[in-house]
Amino acid sequence: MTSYDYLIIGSGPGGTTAAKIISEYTNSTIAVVEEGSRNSSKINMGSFEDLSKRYRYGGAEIVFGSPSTSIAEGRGLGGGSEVNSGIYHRIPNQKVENWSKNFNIENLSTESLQDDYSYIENWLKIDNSNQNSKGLSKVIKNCAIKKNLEFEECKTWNKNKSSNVKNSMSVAFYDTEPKNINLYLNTKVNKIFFDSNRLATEVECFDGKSKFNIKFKFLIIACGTFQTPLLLHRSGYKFSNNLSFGIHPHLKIGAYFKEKILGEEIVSSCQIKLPNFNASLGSSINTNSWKALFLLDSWNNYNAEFNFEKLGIFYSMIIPSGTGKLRFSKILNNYFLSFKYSEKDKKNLYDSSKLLVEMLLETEAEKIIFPNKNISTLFKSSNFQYQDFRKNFKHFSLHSVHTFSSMRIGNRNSECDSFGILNNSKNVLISDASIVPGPPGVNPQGAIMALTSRNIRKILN
Amino acid sequence: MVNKFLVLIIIEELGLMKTNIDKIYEKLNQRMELLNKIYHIPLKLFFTFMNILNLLLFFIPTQTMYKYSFKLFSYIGGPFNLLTKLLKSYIVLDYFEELKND
Repeated sequence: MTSYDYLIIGSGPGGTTAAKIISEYTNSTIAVVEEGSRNSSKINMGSFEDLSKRYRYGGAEIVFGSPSTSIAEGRGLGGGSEVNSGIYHRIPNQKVENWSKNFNIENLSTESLQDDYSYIENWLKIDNSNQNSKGLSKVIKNCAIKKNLEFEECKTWNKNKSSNVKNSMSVAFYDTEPKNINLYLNTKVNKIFFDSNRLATEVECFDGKSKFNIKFKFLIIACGTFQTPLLLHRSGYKFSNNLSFGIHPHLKIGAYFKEKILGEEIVSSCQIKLPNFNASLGSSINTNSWKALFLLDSWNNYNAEFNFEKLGIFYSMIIPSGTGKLRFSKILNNYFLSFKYSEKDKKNLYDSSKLLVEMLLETEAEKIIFPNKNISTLFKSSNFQYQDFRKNFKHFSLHSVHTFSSMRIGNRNSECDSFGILNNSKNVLISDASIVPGPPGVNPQGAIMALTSRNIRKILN
Repeated sequence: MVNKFLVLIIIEELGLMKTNIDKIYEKLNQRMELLNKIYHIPLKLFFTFMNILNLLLFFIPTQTMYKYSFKLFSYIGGPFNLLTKLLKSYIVLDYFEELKND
């Protein structure tokens, strides 16, 4: 049977950061097992090929609730980094302080993460120069300046300044053919075996043809927010708490402009921050097929004269106070997800959306379209009432591309210790979005990589 | 898994041109295969049931049967509404992607 010093399940930002640091600082034998395959980085974002090859379940997963929220997770070599929009954020300082306090996390502060941030930012060649906002990002930036609101021009992680190729994990690490790393592609880990001393000893894998086992001294699980607890559940692991999870729900809002929108941009590089509403505003994926999908809930707006080039899709994203529940079904051997929005979440989503609507109508937008058949199209003279929004809240289509916190680190209501070591086990480290203690309020990839770097260094020391 | 009539009915309901139906149908079935097993299995059972119903109600034209069944599902709401929404979403995404490719 094959044996390694470190076995890493999952090749997303968490798993790959772990693999890189271990391979750089030790002479250990390392294997990375990835369920998906290696995909081209030239696939168009949001296309059929993108969704079917680079997303789990074709990009369609439902979190039940009122309303249900659709979520999407990456799958394949590089995991979520391959489908990430390519913008980078450090964890906001206030969040780090709150997490440290609320979950009793040892030695976690912005200062203690400085070396980790530097390491990641050098590796991914984070572009610190100011981005030249174009297309809908320019609209967002102008709105913020006009209203004197706080805005951020996000940093990007492109391979080089002249290319649009993202420095995803496959590009930044696996394409360089790292030494000392054995990569098992298209291989799924079915089960982890634990011995009587609570040590994980081996895993059972399936490569589509046959089952085989791999032994290891230390196991790093980096399968993602839902797949990591599912794998542990299938392995007979008993969780210490009822599992929950977090998302960044966003409501899409369509603005129909007088003129065609100029400038090519798939997602927003400029975001408006609304700390009073725990929200941020930006522009969303803006290809014709995604604009059509947005219109589906208010299809009466679509007719032969409708010009997709005049439609811009924006979003209002909140940091919810409500939480999700992750439950397992013994019969189906799978999980069910549900999320309950609090009244505060609804109000924050309304307030931030209202502000976005007002700002867009003050620019060149002719009308505002909501993805809700019961909310009529808004014009400059329209009055957007909270009662209407609240009454029809369950009919909205909400989305989240960020999922996290199912196995958060810490010493309070946590499944891992302060450094990601799984409770009730001694040689298993969790290293993906599931360890992020709470909603970072920004793209979580930077948080996943920084926390992984911190935890791996602690283990190696 | 999904009947081609269903694609035609949804395209018709949305007032879109009946182009690239075969490609959209093919992509829709591929997308359904990728779904999480907990949704894929009940959906497969559901569409099998619809096909059996279609055989039993042989005197009603297939397109008419699907059309009114899905109108009923949209009206009932709950999981049936989610199902029609899912199918419509996939069809709209692929319809406009194919339109661009043309």
